[in-house]
Amino acid sequence: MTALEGRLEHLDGVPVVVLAGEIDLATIDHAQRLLQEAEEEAAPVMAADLRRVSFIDSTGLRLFVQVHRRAEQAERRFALVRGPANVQRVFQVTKLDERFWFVDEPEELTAG
Amino acid sequence: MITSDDSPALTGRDTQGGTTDRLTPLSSFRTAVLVTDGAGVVTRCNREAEELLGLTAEDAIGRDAREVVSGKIDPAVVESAVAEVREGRAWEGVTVVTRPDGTRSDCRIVLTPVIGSEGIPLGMVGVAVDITESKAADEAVTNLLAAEQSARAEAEEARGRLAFLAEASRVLAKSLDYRATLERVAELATGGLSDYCIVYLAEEHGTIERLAVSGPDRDGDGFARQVTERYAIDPRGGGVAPVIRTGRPAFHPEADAALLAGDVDDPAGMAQELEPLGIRSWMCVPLALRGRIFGAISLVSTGRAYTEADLSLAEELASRAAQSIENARLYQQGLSVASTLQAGLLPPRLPSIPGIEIAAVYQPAGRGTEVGGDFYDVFRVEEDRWAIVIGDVCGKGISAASFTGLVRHAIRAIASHEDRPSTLLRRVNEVIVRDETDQFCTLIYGEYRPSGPGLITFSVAGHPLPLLIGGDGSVTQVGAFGTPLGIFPDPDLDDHEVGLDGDLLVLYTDGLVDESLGGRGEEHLSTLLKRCARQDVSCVIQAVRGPEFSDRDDRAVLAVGRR
Repeated sequence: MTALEGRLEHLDGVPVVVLAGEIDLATIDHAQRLLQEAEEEAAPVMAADLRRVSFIDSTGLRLFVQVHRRAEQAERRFALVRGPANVQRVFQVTKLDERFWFVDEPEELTAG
Repeated sequence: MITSDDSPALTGRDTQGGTTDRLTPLSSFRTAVLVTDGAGVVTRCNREAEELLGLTAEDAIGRDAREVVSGKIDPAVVESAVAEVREGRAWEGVTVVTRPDGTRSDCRIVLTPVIGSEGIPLGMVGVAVDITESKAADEAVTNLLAAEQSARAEAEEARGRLAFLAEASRVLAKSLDYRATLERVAELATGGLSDYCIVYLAEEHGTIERLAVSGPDRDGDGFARQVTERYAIDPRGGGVAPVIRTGRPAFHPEADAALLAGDVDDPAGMAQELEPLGIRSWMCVPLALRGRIFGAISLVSTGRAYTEADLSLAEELASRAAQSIENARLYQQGLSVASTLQAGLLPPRLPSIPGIEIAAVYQPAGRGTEVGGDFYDVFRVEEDRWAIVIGDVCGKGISAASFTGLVRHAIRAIASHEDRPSTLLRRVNEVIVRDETDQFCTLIYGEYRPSGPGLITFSVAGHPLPLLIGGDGSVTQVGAFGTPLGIFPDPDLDDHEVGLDGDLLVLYTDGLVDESLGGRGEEHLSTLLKRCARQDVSCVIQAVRGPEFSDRDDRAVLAVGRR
């Protein structure tokens, strides 16, 4: 069984989708709903926190690509809070670590 | 071996392994022709160019064009011409060419860059005419312009074909009903490939039914449909019947109404009725799945005559339509489609490549009924050039499978036009990005030349790097990461080379290194593969079949070694 828990939090007005567990085909709808909810706020910056994500497959990757693309089109920024090494590995293999905006802590999004 | 001047150039080799020389007119101009790819490497050199430069086409092809003309043309002239072409502009001028016997000729030279969509250079066509003794320089210029236009038209046609197939794949992927699918095929073909299109279905009891008849807009009342409806098809007659009986296409660049009416119960009557349409050209391709012919598509042109390239395109369309009908059927029956549909996306057996051996394995995920997007392909690009591909399309189900088909076909269609794996992948990326689905894929494209020094040249797009098992038991990653295809218009892609001397190269999809193992998947795989040092490719296949691998995701593995 795979499971994903998540909730939408706010940090100084920045919507942050905090995800915990595995992001794959079985849980993707849940992750997508949460991210959509955050997107609907149309804040200049939004983020997904991957620190407690233990697994991400290509379905998850696609979801982040879509959110990233929509944010760019709307001239907003989408940040990802770095996950554990094996999650980051997926972004390295695809070089998306060079295309997406990654931070270590969500607090970095509100600083300055 | 590409030595004659009627060898294929920028585009020219069809998928059946035959050649279609759509640059033929060039040879009749008595002009020297040198064609390069986007990297400036010579891909074609005609007889006049051989004479002018004092070398054989065999010597010239595969070398940098500047190197080929070095010592024959003033280097300053060459550099300024190359600079223009690199900027995407044509260069024209008269310059001295030193012939092999030392004599000097005045040549008028025109270099024309061939630019693909997104401004990517696909190559350059260089034509030269010796005007030293020619009193007809004006004529030469006219010829050069014609040659340039022909090269351009050819590049644009190739682009149009890809766009058409991308559109066909997209439309077909949406359909889950086979009758609706076939009606769409008819609509797609009318406009893209033909003036009239008829789709036939072979019924169980041996009769042949017309499922869809479509014509141009000016045929608003459905004239063609009304006429054909009045005539029953004779399964023992001519026309479509032999195509369905034998599975071989009918190809008639010059056709008329009588030929087309050869399949009905009253050929003379129908021929007379169809006469006003002014039929020019006709081809008919079978619809087949797993060797069983279930129908055919007839394409009729009232304007231009069909070429071999049109036939290839029609066959490709038929193959996609057949696959999409199969998808629809499986979907409707609610079957577990994974292995069936995946099998349609994998080569039935690996071809034999001189000098190397390849083994492959594909294992679908153990749970769920949806189709995965892992695929591999091994095919001959041209004489002495073989492609090895492994990829993973994000997502599952019919749309993923259809997208996999698009990617595979795009690679096969473009491969012979690009000499470097990274440039090939960039062009595949253009096709996918343009397709505007939200889909992307990761893949490795590698090439091997049996006559070469035993290297595999490859490019990696968002895919786990290949592993090299050394004779000493070391297992190392080779190459560098790149961006997946279908996400960004400007992917990061590089070319890498790896030698196979005594080593085994392993390409795999990430289902093999399930990251939920805590990131130790790759480490685990490396440990397992050590035992294959100095073994053959079958050892790798055995090693990755072990029960310790998770069946959470599909996995595909290709192992390559020297024979």
